[in-house]
Amino acid sequence: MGRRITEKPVTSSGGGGIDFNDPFDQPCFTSYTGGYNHSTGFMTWDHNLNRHNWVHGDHSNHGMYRSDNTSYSTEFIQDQGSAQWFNTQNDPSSATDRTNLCTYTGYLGHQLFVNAGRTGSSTAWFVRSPGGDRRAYAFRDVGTLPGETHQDYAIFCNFGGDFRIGQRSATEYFAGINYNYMPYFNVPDGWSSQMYGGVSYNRKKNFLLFMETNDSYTYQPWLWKNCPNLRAIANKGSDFHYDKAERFDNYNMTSESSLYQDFFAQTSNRQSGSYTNSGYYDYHSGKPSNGSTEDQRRCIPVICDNERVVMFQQIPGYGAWTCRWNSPTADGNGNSAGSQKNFGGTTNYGIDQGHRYGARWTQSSDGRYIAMYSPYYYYGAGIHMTIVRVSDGKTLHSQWQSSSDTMVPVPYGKSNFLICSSMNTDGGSGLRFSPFFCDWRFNTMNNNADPDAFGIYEMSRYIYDSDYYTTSYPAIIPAQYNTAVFNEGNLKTDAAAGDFAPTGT
Amino acid sequence: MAFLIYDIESQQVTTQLDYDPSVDNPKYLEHRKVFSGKDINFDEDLLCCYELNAAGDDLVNPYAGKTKAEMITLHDAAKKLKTAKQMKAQKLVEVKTSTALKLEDEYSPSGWRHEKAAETDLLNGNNDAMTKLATEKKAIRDAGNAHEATLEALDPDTDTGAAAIIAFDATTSGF
Repeated sequence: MGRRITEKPVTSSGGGGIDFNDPFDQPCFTSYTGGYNHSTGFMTWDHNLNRHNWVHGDHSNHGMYRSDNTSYSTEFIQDQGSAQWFNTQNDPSSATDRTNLCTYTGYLGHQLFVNAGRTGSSTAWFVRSPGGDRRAYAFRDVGTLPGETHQDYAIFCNFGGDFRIGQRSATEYFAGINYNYMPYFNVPDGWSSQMYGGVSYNRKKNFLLFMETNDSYTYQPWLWKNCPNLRAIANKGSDFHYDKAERFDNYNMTSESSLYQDFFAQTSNRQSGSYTNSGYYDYHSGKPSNGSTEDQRRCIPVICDNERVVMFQQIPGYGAWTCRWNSPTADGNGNSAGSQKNFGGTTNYGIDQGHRYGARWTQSSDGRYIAMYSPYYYYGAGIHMTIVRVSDGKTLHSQWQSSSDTMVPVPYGKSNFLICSSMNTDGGSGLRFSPFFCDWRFNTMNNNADPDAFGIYEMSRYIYDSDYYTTSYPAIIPAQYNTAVFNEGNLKTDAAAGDFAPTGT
Repeated sequence: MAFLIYDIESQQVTTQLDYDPSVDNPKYLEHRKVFSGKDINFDEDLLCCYELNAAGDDLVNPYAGKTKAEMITLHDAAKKLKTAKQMKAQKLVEVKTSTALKLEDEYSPSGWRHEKAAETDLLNGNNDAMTKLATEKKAIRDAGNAHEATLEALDPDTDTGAAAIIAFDATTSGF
């Protein structure tokens, strides 16, 4: 059976297909701390910042979840328990594999953990080390969904334009590209080559944008308009969850499909004409530095409601940068507006060191804000981050230029992020994080200002416990949950709706 | 004017702002120090190298005058020593824990080895099996102690010592 994607609003009488009266009761993030031969565990917190679920390990009792490689442990822990990456006694620093690297998190959760249950029935859980590497392909290729309130699917673009739509699942994508479980087609080139992750689907406006490159550090956005509902296709066309009969009904992701034939094969759906033989938007070349494949073939674009395009790239060996294109409609031209922010940093690594590294992104539950980030130092320490407002392309930028620890943005509530720290939980400090209220920050700061997003991480100190008793730098695992219910008028923060009162969809 | 933000707990400079965040939020200074008058050129200088001076009233880059590439090399080398020092303390505890766990896991009084030895001695009317068991346990303890002594002898303040500490296997598979 295909997954039902039609939802009924929650009513005061308790009817409807959504099982949360309060969307804030859903999981927000999980912290993982632990060490070999010691207690290890997970704590999941909801959007009220109450405890959602937990698993606390014990290393010395039969029948308990143990964090060593004795016969009492689970299969993965027996096998990997003593591995450096499995433990959190050290900060990310220059390490290649630790659970607390910011590079391992994003829209799809955490590369090294399967996700927590939405209902509170379970916490996140480890994968074995090659499992994380397998899941990482999805983190490399996943594209942004500006304006999307129903974030139960994902779109993916490989270098060269192989385009896939599927569930919001890194596991499915691995199966899809390695075992041919996900049908795909190659998007017609506008100019040159589409990029890893270089796709953005604005559901509200039905825009689909692909970033293209000549492979020599020059970029050009290509915008398709009147795009069909990709979420419906994602939920209907996946071979991972559904039977063959469903795979071949309606739209599916092959070049024989009606999606391809009716839409992508008709290149008149793609904007062109403003620039001779090029497209709707101008080329952009020139940035603070050229690094390697990460910034040559990979990017994170966002197509905004007003047709401005914002692109974030990690530049290995330099830092990161954010650039923007004007809107042909709102600004009167599709010129490159050039660099909005140059993050001058130091040695940092992207996909050249492995497809599990590189820039990442996540977005608020209402899809109105998208946070794009990459490490400052080596594989996952420190952070450079740009947050873009989808309505108009306004951007704010912050950095935490640490060679030790890092920060991770996690979607929080309807429109906000929690900025979660990997700093040491020892000494009773516990988890450190602070909320970043996007509406307020964007309303009170100028375009391209620095809101010091990482500046007050100690808000939660002494309140949120961790599972390990001594030095520990936690991994932060962003949760996946029903984002739609944050947007259906049943929000306690929705003044127009009142507390828990329905207004319909 | 630029403002450098020094995080007191983590003892590092983390960002540079073009405003002083403590003006609107005096509590900011409970956890941070704000230094004005320095405007870091990120193309030529590395923020992560900066540290408090001895008096704690200014920030200095001990590698000032070097190129960025030289700075990161020196910073990494210093950081490696610091990491090794931290890891040495952790791994010393780890060796003890690993040793204890091995004894507990395989030689506890409720385990099959202990039970079998006790029954063997009962049947044979001697203490041979239990003596053998105790000898095996002593060998594990001795190996753990020797492993601990090996780690203790490594100097985290030298490059070779630091590298050896970082690579040191503190689990029972290491001895």
